[in-house]
Amino acid sequence: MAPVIELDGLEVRFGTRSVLKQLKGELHGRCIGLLGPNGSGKSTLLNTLLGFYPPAQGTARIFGKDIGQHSRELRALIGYMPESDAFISNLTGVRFVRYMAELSGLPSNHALERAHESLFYVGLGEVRYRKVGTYSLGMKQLAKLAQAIAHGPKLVFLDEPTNGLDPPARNRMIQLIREIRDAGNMHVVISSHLLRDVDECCDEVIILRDGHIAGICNLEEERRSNRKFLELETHGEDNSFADAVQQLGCECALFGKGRMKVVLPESIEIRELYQIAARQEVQIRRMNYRRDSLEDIFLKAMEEVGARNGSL
Amino acid sequence: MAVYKRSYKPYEGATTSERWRFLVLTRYGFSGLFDSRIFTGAFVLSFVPFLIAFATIYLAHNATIRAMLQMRGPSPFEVNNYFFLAFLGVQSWVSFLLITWQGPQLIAADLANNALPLILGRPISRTEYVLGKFLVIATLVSVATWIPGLILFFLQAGLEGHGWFWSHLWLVGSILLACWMWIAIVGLVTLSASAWLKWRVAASAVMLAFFFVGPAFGAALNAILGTNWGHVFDVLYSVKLIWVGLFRVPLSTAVGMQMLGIPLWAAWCSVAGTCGASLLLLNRRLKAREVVRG
Repeated sequence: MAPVIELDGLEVRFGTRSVLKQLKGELHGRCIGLLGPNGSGKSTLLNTLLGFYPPAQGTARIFGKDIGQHSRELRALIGYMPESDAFISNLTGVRFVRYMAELSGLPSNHALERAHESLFYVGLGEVRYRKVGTYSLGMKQLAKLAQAIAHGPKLVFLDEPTNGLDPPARNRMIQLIREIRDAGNMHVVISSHLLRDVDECCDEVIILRDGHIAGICNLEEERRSNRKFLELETHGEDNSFADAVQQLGCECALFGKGRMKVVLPESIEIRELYQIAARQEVQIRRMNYRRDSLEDIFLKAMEEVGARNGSL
Repeated sequence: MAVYKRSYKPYEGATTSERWRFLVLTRYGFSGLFDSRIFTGAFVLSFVPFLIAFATIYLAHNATIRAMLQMRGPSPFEVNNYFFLAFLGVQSWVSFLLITWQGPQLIAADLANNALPLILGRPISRTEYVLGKFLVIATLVSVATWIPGLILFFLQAGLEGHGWFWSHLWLVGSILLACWMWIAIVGLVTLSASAWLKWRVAASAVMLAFFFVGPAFGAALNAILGTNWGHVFDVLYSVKLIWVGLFRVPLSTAVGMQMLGIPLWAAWCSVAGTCGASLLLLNRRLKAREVVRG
């Protein structure tokens, strides 16, 4: 299956400054998170994929189509919700969404129907005849989402979709994104610096730092593989205990002072660890179930890039 | 799908032709202009000079009505190149005032709340965007200038007979060329003012200033340097000069005498320069994203 987004040595420069540097990778997820600190190049990557910035080197492909050669065709397949305010204040909600849908190629009558549907879908049905300029911040975010999905895109870019939202509005936005993802009709790319948003919605993440890819991670696989991940604190001869645990068929990593991480296969019970500890005369003083959170993955990627840059 | 079924459904219907999709911008631009009742009223009033000219031509050829009005002798109105030059002069001013009033909102409304990335994130190029907006102005000015101009021409030709039609056929080209030159200048200057100034009133003021401060600057330059080349900064002067040429008004007449400041090619250069500068300003401003170079 062709990747949703394929980055092929993509580099973007503003004047002499490289903003995106030799990005390479493939993204296949249904909902892809674009993570990174502020200024890492997330929005620039989205804008480049939309054709707003020309690549200085390399290219990218969306659904196998080159962004340079098929820019127009691709923009018909993409819905875009920008980070900042983006609306036409003197149009009503329904007229605004209809206008955007018509610009994407929908005939006028279909665009009107889809505008109503989209606004109801995002929860703005009751205020769709009000001018967008009078909407609250949360409503404007939802209107931006409505215009991004009204024309039925195959891929939707959401740039910081929960920016400025209060907790209930944020939950509503996250719920909508998950519904869109689960409907299975379109792929979603969420650019955010909020790990929680990405963790709740995405099955794959690409982490950027200083214009580099710090990591690409399939969250679904990570979640599956770390299902039996244990953090132990022991007292006694931990090396021989670790050897014995490994012989049992577990992956084991020691961190000194009796601390270790153990990945348990499905077939092995925790009871067996206690039996080994008893045989080795090792005390298990603490045992926690844990999985690598997105925060761990993110921080690890940041540290790795930091170390790499430091060694250069 | 009924609106009460609040679940997302992909769109699988037909799409419109990509080639003509920019006309959506024109359509929405028009509806935005005519949202104002005052503008709609002013637009209707802009047809008054046309109706007067229409009545004048009709009256000049209708002996019965002239007899009823006790008008004796030949008609005092002669419908010729001077008539059309005067008519288009009035209509071009009327259209200019209409455009100055509402035109600046065409792009400013999109820029005011950063809607440009939403529009250019769709299969619409920057050129199509400008073309779509320009067509709003072009249509409006056309309806006020060359379309009534041609209607008057054909009315006169119909009433006067074939001889007049063939001897004055060149006027059709003059009317079209003169009006489209005016449309290009007014349209591009309006759009560039609209693109650079988000506040409509300020954009209107800049447009008025451009057309009125230019002559003052040109006159000052002429007075200080003792030259006539200051007129190149006066676009209205250049337009008048070109129109006088297009309508074959002899330079020996009163109208022609006023136009001896600069050669015709300099007037064309002035007009072309104005259009070119406006296009450059539009090109610089109309971007989906600003790039901060470093």
